[in-house]
Amino acid sequence: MTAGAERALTRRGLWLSAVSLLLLVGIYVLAFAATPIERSQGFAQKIFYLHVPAAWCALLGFTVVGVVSLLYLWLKDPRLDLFAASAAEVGVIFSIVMLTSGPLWARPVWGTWWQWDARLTLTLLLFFLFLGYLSLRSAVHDPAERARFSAVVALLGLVLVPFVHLSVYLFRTIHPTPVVLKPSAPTLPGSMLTVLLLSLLVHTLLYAGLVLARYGIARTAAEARIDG
Amino acid sequence: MRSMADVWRVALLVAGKDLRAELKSKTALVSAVSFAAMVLMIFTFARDSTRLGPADLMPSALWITYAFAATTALHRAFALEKENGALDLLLLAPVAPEAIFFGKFAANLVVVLVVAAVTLPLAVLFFNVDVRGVIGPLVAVTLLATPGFVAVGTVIGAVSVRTRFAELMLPLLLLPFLLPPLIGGVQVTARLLADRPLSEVAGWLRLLAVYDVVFVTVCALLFPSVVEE
Amino acid sequence: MGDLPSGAGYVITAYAIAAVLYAGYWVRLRKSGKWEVGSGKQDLKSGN
Repeated sequence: MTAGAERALTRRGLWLSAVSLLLLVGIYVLAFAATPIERSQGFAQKIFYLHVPAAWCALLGFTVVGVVSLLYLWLKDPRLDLFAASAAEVGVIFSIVMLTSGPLWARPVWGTWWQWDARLTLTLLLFFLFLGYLSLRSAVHDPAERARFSAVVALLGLVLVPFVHLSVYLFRTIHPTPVVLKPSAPTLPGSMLTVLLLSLLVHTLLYAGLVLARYGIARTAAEARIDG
Repeated sequence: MRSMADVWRVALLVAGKDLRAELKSKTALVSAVSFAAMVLMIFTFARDSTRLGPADLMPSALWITYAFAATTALHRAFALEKENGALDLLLLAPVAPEAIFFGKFAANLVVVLVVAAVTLPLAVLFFNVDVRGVIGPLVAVTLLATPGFVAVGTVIGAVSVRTRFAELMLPLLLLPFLLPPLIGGVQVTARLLADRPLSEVAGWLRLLAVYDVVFVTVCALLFPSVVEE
Repeated sequence: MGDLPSGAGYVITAYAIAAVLYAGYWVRLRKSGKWEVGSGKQDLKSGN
């Protein structure tokens, strides 16, 4: 691979994410100006257009890290490891958006910042797994060891997720709590659904662009290490 | 060609060697057991005595103490290994890494279950609960909640001991995996102490069993990737 | 400015945090990308 190719990756990623950020400005405008105020949740429902896509990207990122890690253990291509690391780091950003926008929605709508229900617990768990994965990476010197260790831990995490979801679900069903109000997704009015879908699309593009840029930078750094 | 019988033979050898080393130094066991006793003592005081009786806190205290003491024991087991460089020597020998995993896993399981064998009676004593009639099920749920977690601990222990800040990395990476066994253990123990029928916790018991099978398998498959080269 | 609808504070805070995080991360990536191109050295912070 020539030295310029990695930089081209970075440039392409930065370009894609810059366009996505501009589009995101459009989503912000649409969310505030072009959607009706939801009757039962009021103005706070608008967080929905931010929270759901961010959560989607965090989950997508986690799955990508897991799948790419599995591929790494199989093919042992260091590029796969760098890609998994980039997907995880960008995933953290979307996790933080998911974890901040969630409680900011729950406070006015549920009357509480946090509920220990299966989905919320899972989002927090994803965040901790991402952090553990990245801390592990920073604590191993040898690139080959780091790649193997972090791939193993990522895969263990991927297997853990359904178990935690199930245990919290069982925990809640045995200890029933007052039913919380949830956004009724199936019957969203047209403009709400349109903005949500657009936001999902723009968030996914932003995620892809940031991962690409981060991956290009990681590749450039890896090449520099080999050459120097 | 390595046969299945060879794998088990090597696994037994590894487990035997580990347990003998542990018996000789007793560091992991003694530190984990005294750690468990102290945490239980702290738990008896870490409650609002006007609102919670000791028995109310017993299931949570028992399982949290057990989980943390087990983590301590797992860490010691690998730290010892690292000091002696025994694992590196073992890996030079032409044995299947899966066999090493099962050997380490078995040794860790024994050590952690010894910790449980001390934690459980101490918790009964300290928290003054009546366990007559539920001792069998209590032991059974401990046996059911432990293997999956110890399997993950064996892999993550092997990883973390090769990192900087090993004593920090192990709990950071391992604690999320405690969640299902810990929630299950506490729920089942609480039901048992309240004399509820076992059928009420059937879902939990199934979950714990599946957790064991899945993680022992996954860890056996992943362990070779940790120790290779 | 007219009266804000109830809950507006929460909404604005959530959107502002997201904007700062997304844009901030983008700027950070751009910086470490540029630095590498300019100096031909690796950025230690991002060198994974």
